[in-house]
Amino acid sequence: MNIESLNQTIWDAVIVGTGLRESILAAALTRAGKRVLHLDRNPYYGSEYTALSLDELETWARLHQADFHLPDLQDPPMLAKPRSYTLSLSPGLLYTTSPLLSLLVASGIHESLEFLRVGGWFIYRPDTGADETLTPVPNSREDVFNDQSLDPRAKRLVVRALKSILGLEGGSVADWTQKSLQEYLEQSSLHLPSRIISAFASLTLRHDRPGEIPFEEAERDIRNHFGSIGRFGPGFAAVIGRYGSGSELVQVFCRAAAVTGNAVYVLESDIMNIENNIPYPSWAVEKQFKHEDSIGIHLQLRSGDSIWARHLIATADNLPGGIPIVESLPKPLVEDRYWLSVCIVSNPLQNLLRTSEPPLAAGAVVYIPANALKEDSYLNTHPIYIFVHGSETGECPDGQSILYVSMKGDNKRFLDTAVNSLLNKVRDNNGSTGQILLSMKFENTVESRPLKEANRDSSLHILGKHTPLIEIPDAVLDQVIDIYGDIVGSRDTFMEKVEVEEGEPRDNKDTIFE
Amino acid sequence: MSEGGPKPSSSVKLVLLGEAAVGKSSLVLRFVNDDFQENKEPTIGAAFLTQKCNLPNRTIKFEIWDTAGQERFASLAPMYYRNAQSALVVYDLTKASSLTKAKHWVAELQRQASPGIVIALVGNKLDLTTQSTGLEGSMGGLSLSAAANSGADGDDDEEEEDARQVTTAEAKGYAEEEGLLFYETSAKTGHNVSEVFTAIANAIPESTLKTRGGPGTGRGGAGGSSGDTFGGTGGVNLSAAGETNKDACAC
Repeated sequence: MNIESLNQTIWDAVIVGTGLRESILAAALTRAGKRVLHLDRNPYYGSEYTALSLDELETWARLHQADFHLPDLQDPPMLAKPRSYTLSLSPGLLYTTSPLLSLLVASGIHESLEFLRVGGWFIYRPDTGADETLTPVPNSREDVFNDQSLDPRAKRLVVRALKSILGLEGGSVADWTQKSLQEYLEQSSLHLPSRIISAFASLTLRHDRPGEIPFEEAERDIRNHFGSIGRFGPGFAAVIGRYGSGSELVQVFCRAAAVTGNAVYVLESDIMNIENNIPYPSWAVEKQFKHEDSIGIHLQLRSGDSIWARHLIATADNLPGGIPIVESLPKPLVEDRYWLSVCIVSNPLQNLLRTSEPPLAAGAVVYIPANALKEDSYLNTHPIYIFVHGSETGECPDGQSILYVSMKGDNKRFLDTAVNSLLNKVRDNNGSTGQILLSMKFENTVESRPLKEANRDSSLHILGKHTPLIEIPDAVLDQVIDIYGDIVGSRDTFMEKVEVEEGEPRDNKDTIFE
Repeated sequence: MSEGGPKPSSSVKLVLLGEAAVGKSSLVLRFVNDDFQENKEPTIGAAFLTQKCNLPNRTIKFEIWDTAGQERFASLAPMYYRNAQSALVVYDLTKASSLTKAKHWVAELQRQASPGIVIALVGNKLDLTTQSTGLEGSMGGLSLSAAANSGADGDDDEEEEDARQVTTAEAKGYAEEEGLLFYETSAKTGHNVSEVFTAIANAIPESTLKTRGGPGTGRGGAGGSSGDTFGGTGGVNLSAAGETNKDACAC
């Protein structure tokens, strides 16, 4: 069979878009022996998970009406060559307990990936002296007791709250199911101050105010956080992939698919039309495809290629508008709007990346509570997360770092305010605060419908819109396994390991091959 | 690190590019398994292999992505050379057009790949030539008789003369202009194959290695890590995941 023939094949699956879910599916299906045609309309991999160099980011910003800003203050210019940067649209972390990490290891795909530690979580506090503006979130009971800013009574209360949330105390927390995280922590027997509440809230990675986070969900998140500490080494709960985290994950899954020889990849490929339940052409019926089904999906590509497939997998926004199949899809119910920014700053932020174990961590999370920043006499209505990626990630040159800022709703100007406020508090070794060398701000929406509820029938698998924020959600995997099960008929074979050929260690050039 | 004592270990991502049938997979097969297959089937999609290379002062673990030369859509290569620290661009020195294709790959790498990427230009199938055009001395130990014999595997059994179409001088001159490492190899005899990889390992800038875990930045005391430390600096060894959660307990 000629692998390069797009038209003379009935593909088991055509996958449109190379985001994370699509790429995992491509790897899983091809490993199960399914033939996959994987398309992307962009000239790059990753869709909403991609990572871009500086000039690619500028192009992306233009195409997506993003606010691309190069401050006019660089004398001498401090930005390195455009390709020295890998600016990620999916910088999110993975908890060490994430099923996605387990999958990577079990499938052997982690061999060509490198994960780095996310060190500390920090709370930004505008109401204190300069040295205390950033307080680390305790990682353990020892941390709590070593915290100079807490008096002994507060320490006892924090530990009690923590124990009870982690289920280590006999008492039941069942009464709190209808309450918020804030209500729980402010109950009369704890009565914790707002900065402690911020610390707990920061561990949920949610962009809602503590009073809006259901206690039950916060409890699950916080347990997950502490349960993740120590799994791959002491002192850290989460990791990021080198070179842009989510964007690198996408690439390794696509490579894993390509390596099987069962996938064909075509970038810059646009679909013009999709029809379902169309009888296969006569050549297919006559030739090698004696299959129980006689109807399938017919796709027309802009290139003129006419494609036949048994299954189609895509997010709605990667499919062409204005055609009946796409127009008849249910619209998402509620969308949350987020402001995001990617900033290159001339400060390595090493003080945020120090951990109990050398060397420096690659990332850190800074949580700015609601009402902590002021912009034109307005306060920020929602908490803001700054996810710091140091140069260890390979995303920027030494001496700089990349800040990924995210917040719900609100005024986008808080994004820069947040970064500048952080820079003012974290001086580098020379006492310099550094500055923003480049920022790109953009808006994005997240469907509130759970990821798992994909819109599927027997052959069309339409994925809900999904924007990676500060965490790569575990739910991506559930949805992927569901679709895999539909197509392969069993979930048991999902992403079975394939042996990598590994040579015996070779010595240097003295070795002669005969 | 299971062997090699305390030498620092770094991973180096390497991608092979070049026209179909120039011998990319055969070079890798020779390097990794010290083996050679006549009439090897074309690579479909790509292949991933690893190979450790012990240098005097460190161990390099090559993560090798061997791509399909016949890929029609040119959509695969970007996924392999992205973040690669090194590339091996291969041509067949008995086929002039394959050098043209190699030059295209070099240009694309220079345009799209990481700024510090180490590129080696490799003319393969040296065994099909009868002489090495003026560089006999420096090529060292080339077996002319073996080369002449293997020429008989071609379509034309009678053809006794040199099948070389690309002179050493031409390719070498181009490589020097572009700042590439340059070797002529034979995957069949093994000639110069390990030399290419060793030269690449030596040419990777210290700074690139440092960010992937060079000397002096090893994981301080994070004991119990068996096998590769994948990088070393901040690299997290997922396979060494103790299921124990000994210091996870907050209270």
